[in-house]
Amino acid sequence: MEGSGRDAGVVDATERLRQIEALTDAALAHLNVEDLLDELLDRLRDTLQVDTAAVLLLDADGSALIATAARGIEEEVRQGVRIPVRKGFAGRIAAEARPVILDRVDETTVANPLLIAKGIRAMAGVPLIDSGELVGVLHVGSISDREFGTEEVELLQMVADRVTGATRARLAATERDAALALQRSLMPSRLPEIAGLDLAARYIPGGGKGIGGDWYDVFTLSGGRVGLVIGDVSGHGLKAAVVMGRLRSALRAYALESSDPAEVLRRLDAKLLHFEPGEMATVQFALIDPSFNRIAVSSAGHLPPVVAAPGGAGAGLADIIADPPLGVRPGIPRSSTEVSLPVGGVLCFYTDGLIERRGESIDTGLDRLLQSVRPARSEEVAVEVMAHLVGATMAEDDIALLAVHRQVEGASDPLVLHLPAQPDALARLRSAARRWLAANGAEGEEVDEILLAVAEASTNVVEHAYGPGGGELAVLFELADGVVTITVRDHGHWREARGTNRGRGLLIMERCTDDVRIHRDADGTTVVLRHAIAGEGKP
Amino acid sequence: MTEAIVTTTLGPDRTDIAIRGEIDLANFAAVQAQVNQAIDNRTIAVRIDLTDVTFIDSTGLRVLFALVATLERLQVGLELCAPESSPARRVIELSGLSSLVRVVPDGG
Amino acid sequence: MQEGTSAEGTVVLVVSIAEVDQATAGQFEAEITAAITPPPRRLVIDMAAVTFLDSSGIRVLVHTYQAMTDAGATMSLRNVSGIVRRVIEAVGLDGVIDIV
Repeated sequence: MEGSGRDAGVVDATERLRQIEALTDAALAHLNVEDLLDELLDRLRDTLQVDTAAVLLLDADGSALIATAARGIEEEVRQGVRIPVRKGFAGRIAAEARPVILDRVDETTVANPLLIAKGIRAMAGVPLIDSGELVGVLHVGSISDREFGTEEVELLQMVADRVTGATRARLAATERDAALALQRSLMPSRLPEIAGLDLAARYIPGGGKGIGGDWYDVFTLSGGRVGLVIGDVSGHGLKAAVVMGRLRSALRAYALESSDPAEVLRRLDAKLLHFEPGEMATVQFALIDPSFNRIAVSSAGHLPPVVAAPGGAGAGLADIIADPPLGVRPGIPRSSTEVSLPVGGVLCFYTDGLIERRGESIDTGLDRLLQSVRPARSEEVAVEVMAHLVGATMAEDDIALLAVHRQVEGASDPLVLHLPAQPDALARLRSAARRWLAANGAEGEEVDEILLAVAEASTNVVEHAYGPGGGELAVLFELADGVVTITVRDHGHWREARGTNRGRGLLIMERCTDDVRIHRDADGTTVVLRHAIAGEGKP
Repeated sequence: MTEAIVTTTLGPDRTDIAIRGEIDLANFAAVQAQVNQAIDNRTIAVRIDLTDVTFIDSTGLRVLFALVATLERLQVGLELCAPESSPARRVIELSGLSSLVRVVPDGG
Repeated sequence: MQEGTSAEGTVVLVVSIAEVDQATAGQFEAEITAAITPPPRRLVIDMAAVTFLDSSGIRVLVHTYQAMTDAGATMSLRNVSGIVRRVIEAVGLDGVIDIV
């Protein structure tokens, strides 16, 4: 192929093209997208003897072009230039999906004032097409007057194809990485430790997509209450995951403000309808009271949870009112139903991906599920459920499963708690203490007094044992011969209380229990409280 | 790597912690750890001297806000030292931190 | 949540916090401070919702009591549950703080 003598700027075009091709080969796979584009654009500027070269990529919803790489006009990228499709020069190329040449650069021909400010007088641009789809625009500009001939436009298109090819794989990988990272950040990384409840969960995104709109959530609320959530946003992939993240976050916020699950879902519904019209989701929100005896559940279009009580009756679907899903229309009334979870029992929340199979009625799947749930440790339940319902085949839809087992707190079983010496640990300690005391036959004023004494000892650790770096608090509850012994231990160094109106902690401990001993040594401080209770520990 | 030097002077009634340099995302955790280490639960009061802080952004502010909360819980006094229109002073005022903690203009 | 100020200058504050401890004492204090600004002649604190109160809460009550007394005003608690009564007794304030 001979170089055209007409355009002095396309000297050794074949050689230059070879250089450009060399840039995109596998050997340079280590370059990230940004560096690769910068290199390509530099070579392009040399080859075509132009002053600026830029790549703009179509944004997620296809309505605007975003400057992604630029040489000679780096401001385009730094200043976040966005050109709506159909507007200006780049917008026109995108709308018409064909090359465009400009011999005049002003407000009537370009939408980006930076081009005019740069003094560009001529431009040529081509679309970036990937498998028949427009993904962006590549354009070059010259500060001096010049013409762009057919050969130059062809060269530009060839480079554009190289750009598209080279960035396609990388951008997809980046997007997928970003989606996975987003999703990972949206799933609870670890289920919280709640004394008396044993939790297990599973999340399998469907169809190999890596992310989806299903979620589960477990969190504690003030006073020792526990919130449990299972949800399913319609749709798949990143879009559903993003909506899911917003719902999860908003639900937590509403749960802080209302103790009625129906009210929480009502607010969540209103939020979804207002900010995300067109989206729908099924959700179930269960609120467990601190004694674990009462669970209030509100369900928005979601399949009922499974309950399995000890005693051999088998598992059944909880009898709860099913209100419509979220996002249908405003003003849908919602209600809460009470479910009881007996000691030793299991409550299982799940999404429909677990039980729906093509060619099968949903009841078949539900039956299979009921047969897999028994009153056992939640991890065992999760394993059995997944084995019987999922097996080896990849599910198409997302699957989420949350199993809650209410542990048997045997009388005379000691309770051991390890908590960070932070203020929010105190409520958890009190809830666990109340349940243990109740299970061990303590009643009325005995419970009050023990609770007050333990609270003071622990608060002392939180306030006086450690520096700002914090530390741990360990509490042990034991019952023997009608006497409750509580040991509160830290490995800090107790300091006296400061300020006015302080120092009543020890007074409360002494007045509320039969005996208080405090041992201080190099390893820390131990407080031992003893209090007789009238009730016998239940056998 | 952003540089910040934390110097501690233990006095009978107060621990003085001076931070010199920049605090940002790259080094805030290290700065926080060093500040925390300089304080134990016997400390009565702390003064953080930010006079020689040349750059502090929202990450650095978070360290200060966290310290306010923690020291309040531990009943340790806290004041910040930042001269008028020093980089730290401006940022402290704009962020609302100055309404939570005493800020003095100089080390006097 | 405040119930209102009557013509004689009594403020009834219905405490909204269920458990008053080190973590929530600040909130408890904020609710009370809001109720006594401007200072009424009589403050009645309704403790019906309070199922736990430790020395952090006692500190707030004592501080409030002192402030009210200094201002020549009175303070009392009502709907006090067993555990709250017990802790007030334990710190020896049952003769001092008026419980109705």
